[in-house]
Amino acid sequence: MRGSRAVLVAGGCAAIVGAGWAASPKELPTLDLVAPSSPAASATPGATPSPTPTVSATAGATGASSTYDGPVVTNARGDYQARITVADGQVTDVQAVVAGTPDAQSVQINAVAIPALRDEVLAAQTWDVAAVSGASFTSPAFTESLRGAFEEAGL
Amino acid sequence: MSTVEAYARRTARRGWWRDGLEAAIYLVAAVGVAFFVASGGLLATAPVDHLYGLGRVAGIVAAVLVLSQITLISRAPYVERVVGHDRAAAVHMRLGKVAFVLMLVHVGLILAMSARYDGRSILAETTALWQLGWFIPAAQAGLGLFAIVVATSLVAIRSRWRYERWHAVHLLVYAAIALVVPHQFLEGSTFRSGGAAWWFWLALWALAVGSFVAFRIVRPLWLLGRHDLRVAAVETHPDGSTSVTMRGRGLDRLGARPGQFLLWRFLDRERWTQAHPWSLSRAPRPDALRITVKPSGDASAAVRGLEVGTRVLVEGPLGVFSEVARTASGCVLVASGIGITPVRAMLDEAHPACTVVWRVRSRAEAPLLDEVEALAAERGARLVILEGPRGPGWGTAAGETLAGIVPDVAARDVYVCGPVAWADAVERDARAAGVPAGAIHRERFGW
Repeated sequence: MRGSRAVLVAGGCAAIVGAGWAASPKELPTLDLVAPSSPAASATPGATPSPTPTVSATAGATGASSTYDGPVVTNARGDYQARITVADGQVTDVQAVVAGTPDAQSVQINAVAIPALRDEVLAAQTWDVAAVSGASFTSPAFTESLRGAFEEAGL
Repeated sequence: MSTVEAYARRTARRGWWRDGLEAAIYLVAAVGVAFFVASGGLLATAPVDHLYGLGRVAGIVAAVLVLSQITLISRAPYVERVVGHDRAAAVHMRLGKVAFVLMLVHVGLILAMSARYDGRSILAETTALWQLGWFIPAAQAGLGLFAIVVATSLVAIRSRWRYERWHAVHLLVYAAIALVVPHQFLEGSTFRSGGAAWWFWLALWALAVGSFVAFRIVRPLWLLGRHDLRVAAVETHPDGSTSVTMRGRGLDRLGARPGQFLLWRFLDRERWTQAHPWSLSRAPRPDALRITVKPSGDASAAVRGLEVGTRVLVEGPLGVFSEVARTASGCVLVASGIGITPVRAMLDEAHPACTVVWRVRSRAEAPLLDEVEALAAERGARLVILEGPRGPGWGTAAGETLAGIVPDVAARDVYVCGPVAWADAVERDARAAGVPAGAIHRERFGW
């Protein structure tokens, strides 16, 4: 290829990749994980599923609410553990204790998928919610952990 | 407009096309990488995450190269007419090596980084990744097949493996591609979601595989139906070569030019699995084509036993060893031994400013000698036969040079057909005599 054309093509390639960069998210979305409630429930890779969900109760201004941790569920994409907050028989919050691995792709997927699953669970008041598209490993693992938490809470 | 001006315009147009095809490879790779970047591929929690991203980019570029390879050997006219069959095959091979290295980089980085994230050993991670789905072990098996194909291709060149055996192994590529593709769509993170990137890759695969199927399978079968080409005569010449004449309907519509070759597949019990590149040894006629083959490989020898009436499946016409490549008004056609066949075909249309230089061991071993002499006389072309044992250059012991035979060779097109090492020597001589690189035309049969 002649020099002038090669420069043209190189410029075109740079422009295309640059356009991709312009369209890309500039910051990694973050997911706030809650601290494990006891050392026994902390995520140890390979502990599937952990048999010791923990329960803790706090006295809030609006009445008693309790938190229940599901078991740690492990799959090819890492470990997942859910925590639910229950007040008056209603699930009022869903959080993740552990979700995936520190790999940027995993972080990115979970930062979207966990809040989406949380919204679904709060709306439907059940652990058995539809998988989030694009999160085919997070969804089943996290709902599996949720199931344990729901059972523990007697829901 | 003079003929030479027309040649120059055609050459420039081919140059644009050729550069366009090459540019397309780079631009498509850039789009693939851009989709990766746009999906947040450059985001990282730690600098080491970029190694994982690099692994993904290697996979993306490898996929683009494999797609380019498929297109290059699809025998699509937009590749054959522009790049030429031999150069397309050479580029195909070069891209193959790069693609394989990129596949190894892709697998190595993804595996090492996944093992790191998951806290497993690399060996454990290799099998742990199977949990992602059936497409992971499939892709791993595909990589193994690619390794076998690349290794045998390298060995084949070094040790001159038989073409038939190399070809059989090379067919594993179809299986390798079929095994490797699914993981790009089902696991490849950029493409899983079914957005624009997914459609982009689907369109690319459809184009490459579509060209391949259309021009290597559908078109030959359609030509078989349209022309009903069959062996009409098999004639063995005193020098040991064999001419096969085939008859069919409306063969002018094939669009073959003298000097071009086709891939011939004789549909009888022993030969239908193999296609062989042989040049037309006479300008194509509306009702007949002819090839002339000298026994070298098994298949060339077996042509003698062809039954009259055998159906013939053809792919082509192929190559730019013909008038379409002309850049100047005069030409020199240089052939060695059986390499005379495309030159013999070109003589049917040659004008007087052509000189034929033919290197043979002896006149008794010169295929189609009577025909070539008669045609050269009839067309007013000069015929120079260099007869005798091998000399220091491409000629005989007398050490002939192109400039010595054709003083104005620098202002002519030079067509060279013969064994690779010999043709290399002719090309060097032509370059030394001042022939521009673009005016030297060769068709390299690697086998």
